[in-house]
Amino acid sequence: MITGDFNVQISARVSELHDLAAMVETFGEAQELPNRTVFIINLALEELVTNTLVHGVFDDGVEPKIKINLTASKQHVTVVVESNGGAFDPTEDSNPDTTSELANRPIGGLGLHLVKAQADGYSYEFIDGINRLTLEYNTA
Amino acid sequence: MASNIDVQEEREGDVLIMIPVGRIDSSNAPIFERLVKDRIDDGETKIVVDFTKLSFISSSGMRVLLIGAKNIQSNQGKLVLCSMRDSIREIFSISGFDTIIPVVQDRIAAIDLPLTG
Repeated sequence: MITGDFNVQISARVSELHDLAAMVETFGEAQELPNRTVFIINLALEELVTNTLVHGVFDDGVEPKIKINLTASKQHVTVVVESNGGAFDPTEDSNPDTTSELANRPIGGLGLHLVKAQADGYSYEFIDGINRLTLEYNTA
Repeated sequence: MASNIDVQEEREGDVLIMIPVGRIDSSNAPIFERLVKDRIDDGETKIVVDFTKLSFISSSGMRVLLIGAKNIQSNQGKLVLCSMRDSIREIFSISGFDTIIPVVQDRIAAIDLPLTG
């Protein structure tokens, strides 16, 4: 596998999601990533962009911004997602209810659970007003 | 601002089959939610969502299916999902949705599934 880097900065708007997904798919093809890896990275990015929109707190005139970096090396992909909008640690989110019967199952709270469950490793830091989440995926 | 979603529909007797095409994410989940709600409000009691043409779904889309399953159950109906690709099947399993919403192999199995039980 060729190693490679992919960088993109987007406005955190749901209308950007389709273009972002297409870019990640193109990167995945170039790096010969497994389909499953491309899917779970796209899912993670969708959940994180949506999360920034829902939980981010933005001063007047400040636009939500998300910076994404993907690095593929042999048997491994690292995804770094940086966002503004105030400190929000997605790794602290509590585990949602995944066992109650249908009538009692709460609606929502699943997105970040999926991101963490599918990553092989993750870490979070808040530096100079920027949230930085690093996700690790094994591709072997 | 919501993006659109193409949802094809077919009918097999009393069963309505909804076939979303492409992606369901937070940009178009509200439109999909409205479509499912309208069909349940119209009195449909068995809806099969066929995933054959769906390449991607996020938690926003899964939420719509959970709401739909709850609503149709309160009308003594049933929502059934079929023909998922492996990546999508995996997230339904992680979230425990597959224990509360039936997920079956293909459309024939989905149509055959009884309303009760």
